[in-house]
Amino acid sequence: MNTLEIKNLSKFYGRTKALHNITFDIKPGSILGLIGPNGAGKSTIMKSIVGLTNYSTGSILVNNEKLKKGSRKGLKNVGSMIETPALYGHMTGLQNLKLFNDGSTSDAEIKKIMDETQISSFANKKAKNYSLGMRQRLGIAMALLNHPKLLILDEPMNGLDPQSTHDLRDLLLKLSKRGISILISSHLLDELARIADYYVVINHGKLVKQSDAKSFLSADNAVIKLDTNNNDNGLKAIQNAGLDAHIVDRDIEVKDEGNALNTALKALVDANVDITNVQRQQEDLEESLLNLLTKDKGDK
Amino acid sequence: MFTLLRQELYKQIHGKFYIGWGMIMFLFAMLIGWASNKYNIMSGDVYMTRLSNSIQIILIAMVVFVSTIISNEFASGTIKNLLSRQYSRLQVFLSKLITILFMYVYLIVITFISTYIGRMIFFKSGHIIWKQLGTNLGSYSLFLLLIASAALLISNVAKSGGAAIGIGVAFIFASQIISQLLSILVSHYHWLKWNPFNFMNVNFQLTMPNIDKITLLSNNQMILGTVAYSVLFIFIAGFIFKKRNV
Ligand SMILES: Nc1ncnc2c1ncn2[C@@H]1O[C@H](COP(=O)(O)OP(=O)(O)O)[C@@H](O)[C@H]1O
Ligand SMILES: [Mg+2]
Repeated sequence: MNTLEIKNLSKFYGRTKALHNITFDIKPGSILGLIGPNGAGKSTIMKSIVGLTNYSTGSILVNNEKLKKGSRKGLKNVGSMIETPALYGHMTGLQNLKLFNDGSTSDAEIKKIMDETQISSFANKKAKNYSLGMRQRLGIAMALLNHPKLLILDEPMNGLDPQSTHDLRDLLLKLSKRGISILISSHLLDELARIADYYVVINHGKLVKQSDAKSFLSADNAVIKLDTNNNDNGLKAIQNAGLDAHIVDRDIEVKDEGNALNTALKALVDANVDITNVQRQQEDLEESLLNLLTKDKGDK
Repeated sequence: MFTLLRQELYKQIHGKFYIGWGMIMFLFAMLIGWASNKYNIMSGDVYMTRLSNSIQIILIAMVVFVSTIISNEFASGTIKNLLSRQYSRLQVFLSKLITILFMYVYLIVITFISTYIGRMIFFKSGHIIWKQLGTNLGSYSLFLLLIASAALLISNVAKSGGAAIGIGVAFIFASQIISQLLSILVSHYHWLKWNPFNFMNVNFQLTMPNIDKITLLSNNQMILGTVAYSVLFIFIAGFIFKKRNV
């Protein structure tokens, strides 16, 4: 049983299609990173799940309850913070928490939530005086009320300093170990790198890629960088040897697959090109995401 | 549903509205009581049955309250908390309506107590003509129902509390002028008596004689029409609320 199942979700804003047949699901206790540039449709997906917006077609199941117009039972165990934390400025942090406690969260549990989200030190101050980071943390604390099985966090790292970002990562990992499923979005892959179990990448409302964290960095993203005394001849030799290579920033870049390194070196030696530098590198996450997104544009 | 209502009341208790307007009602009752006695503006009985003439102020307070109770949640984004859980939009809307009713009853009670105190202090008597008080309260409540429903509708259509407050308060003061102007038209085209502005005379008609000659409506038609228009306005406001994307 999946905590969340989204099938063929489509959404129009007027005549513009914001989501095209999005399908993915989240298994219990796992963290799904929803990645995409600004305007990709991340918030729209989340709003559709919790019913802040009506979607056009498709179906959404939360905790095995199908969400329909008249039936929102599945949302009982969903905590969310979408776009910006929704706080009452005239109340303190603690009062905001008490307000949205539907009665199932004990005072001790509220205290634990405050400690874990590190808001205890300012919980008795009025929320209107909070910094962005403080608001963000209170918003997350509110999402943790009432024992959620699914946590939906929309760009929760916005406005957090590096230390708080680090602490939030730890907290999310801890929560997922407790069995809470998490749907978390970001336009920066880097923010979710070390925590997401799998990723869904969307762009222009379309699902571009879906993969688990390990295979996200697939072989086709690794390259060998070569510098020689004659890169023009070197490139020709390597391409003649059947490898996928081109010049990038005055280096020869060869796609790192199979026996590419050996083949390339041999081709250079055979062509009498002197090798001055060899480097094997994995593209970083951000770069591979960028490639993915530009490729998506090219397809259009 | 009970949880939603508890949350609405929690927000009000931690807000300033009920204290601020409660104090205004009290001060106003004292001021009018003092002035009525000193300058012989009205008798103690009239002072009491008109709730120290404060009902007009309650109307203003309620128009402000109704106009902002939903639109402020949209403006601050807090509406997301209300709409993203297991409760239906209808339940959220109903919890708002009930909170509005609570606030009205609260303001009436505060004003009643304040006026009663004023009557004791300035007129040295606790006598109340209940029947007249009931008629005044009932007719003003009907007037408020119409104005507040319109304010609720406007705040949902215009997606702004400010617009609704402006128009709502303007109606309270301009209702007589508007309906007098319209009464000229009504006298020529009788079917125009069913226009919603004509029902803004409801409190005059129920508390003063001969207004039915102008409105061309019987008291019962007046009451039923006021309720019908109010229900219609609330219904449309609820429909817009239900459909609205956040
Ligand atoms: N209320 C709205 N009305 C019209 N278009 C909208 C609305 N909300 C979002 N959009 C459009 O839908 C697309 C996706 O937006 P959004 O889900 O907010 O993106 P993201 O959260 O990934 O930055 C954008 O092109 C945005 O302009
Ligand atoms: Mg967004």
